Amino acid sequence: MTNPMNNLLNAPEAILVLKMADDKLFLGHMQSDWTGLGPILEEDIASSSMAQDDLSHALVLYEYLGNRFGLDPDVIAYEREPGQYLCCDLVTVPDEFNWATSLVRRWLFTHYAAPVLDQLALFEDKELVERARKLRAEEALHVEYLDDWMRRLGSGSDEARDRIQKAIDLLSTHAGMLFELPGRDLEPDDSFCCSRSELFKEWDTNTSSVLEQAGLMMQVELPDLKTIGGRNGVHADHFAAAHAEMGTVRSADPGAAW
Amino acid sequence: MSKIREQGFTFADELPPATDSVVGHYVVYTQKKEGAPHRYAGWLNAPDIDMATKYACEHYGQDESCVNIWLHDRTQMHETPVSDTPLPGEDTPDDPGAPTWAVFTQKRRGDIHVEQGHVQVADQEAALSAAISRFGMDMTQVRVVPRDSMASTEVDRVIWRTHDQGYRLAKGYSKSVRAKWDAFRKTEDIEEYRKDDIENHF
Repeated sequence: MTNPMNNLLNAPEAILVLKMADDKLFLGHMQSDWTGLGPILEEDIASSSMAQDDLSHALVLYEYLGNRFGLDPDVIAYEREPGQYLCCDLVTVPDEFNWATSLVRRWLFTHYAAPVLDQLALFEDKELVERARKLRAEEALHVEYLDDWMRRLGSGSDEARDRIQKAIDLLSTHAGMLFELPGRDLEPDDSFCCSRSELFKEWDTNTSSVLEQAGLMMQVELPDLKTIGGRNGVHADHFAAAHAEMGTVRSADPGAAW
Repeated sequence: MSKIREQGFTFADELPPATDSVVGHYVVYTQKKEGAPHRYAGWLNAPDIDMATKYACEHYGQDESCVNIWLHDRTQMHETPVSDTPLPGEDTPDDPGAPTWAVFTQKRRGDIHVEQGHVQVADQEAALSAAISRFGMDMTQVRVVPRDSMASTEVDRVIWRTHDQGYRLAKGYSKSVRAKWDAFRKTEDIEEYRKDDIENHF
């Protein structure tokens, strides 16, 4: 008897969608911690709105996978083992309520998400293409918004520049693993590797352009293919903490309708 | 708040001393559909009008479906006093070389201000007078704002998200709650409870 979850986790195209959905689920969850605590009221509202975008983008992608594999989107989101989540380390790095860290975490990710959504919009599956196009248009808002803040803080006071540079230094060590390939146990598939270096190049060009305008520095190298991390279910401790917390309500009464 | 973040974290010595930052107060109008008038949505604080535009998109632009946003610094608007009697105004012909003023009116006291059109005249007094004459009939207040002081979202910019946003809407939520409440009220239990309740308390 086939298991729909195993089918999903062993379908090369599906896990390319799943890694984006998992990234957005955890990033949205982490950023939601700031609701009510933003540095100023409007920034609080805006960042909460964009965190909600990330969570609902995850839902849009889980729904697609659910339709394709006969699974409830909530089951895909909440009822996998930790090793079956494919998000990168960056999205669950704790920001310790440092606004600069939370901002840079989103900024590094959104420049990755935009071209990946472009790629998903080129797939043959019409339903996926339609969903990816909608999300891509909204991701552009995140890119524009976060780029603006990076420029403002980089060209602001000494303290602002120092804080944002420290956040870049902290998070850039995780950024290369955005590009880790998922599904090492699967049969080799062209869709996994043909665009990894091009994707990194695009990300590097776009982030470098903003950093130059902001007067900030960042060094990120593409890790070699042997380096294994979150995209293959090998997660850091901070993922385990975020995963446990995110599933608290769901696991309190498994199978209940909410 | 996340339990993860409560572990060993403290705000002590974390925040810098307050600075005398300059914050502007911006008035926001949203347009629900293409061709519809812009209607007052609210106001917000921001460091400048560019940031205010972004904030307006994430704040008032997410209250309900919206295709365009206008905003201006609140010091740029000029208004008549609120009046229940006809406002005095004298029309001045538009001058193609003069500044353009957006006109907003309030129909009853407490109503929101709605875009009515524009006048093209030399100064704020002439603008208010012309706006009253052309758009102020039966209105309690008329407001004019120089168009060149106003910011607008770009044409075709995505404001209201295009994927299903029904869950964000209060009306969607209340519909669902009403359905559950109606179902609940139809059960005999609630009628029995109500009888007991009346018997015991009244």
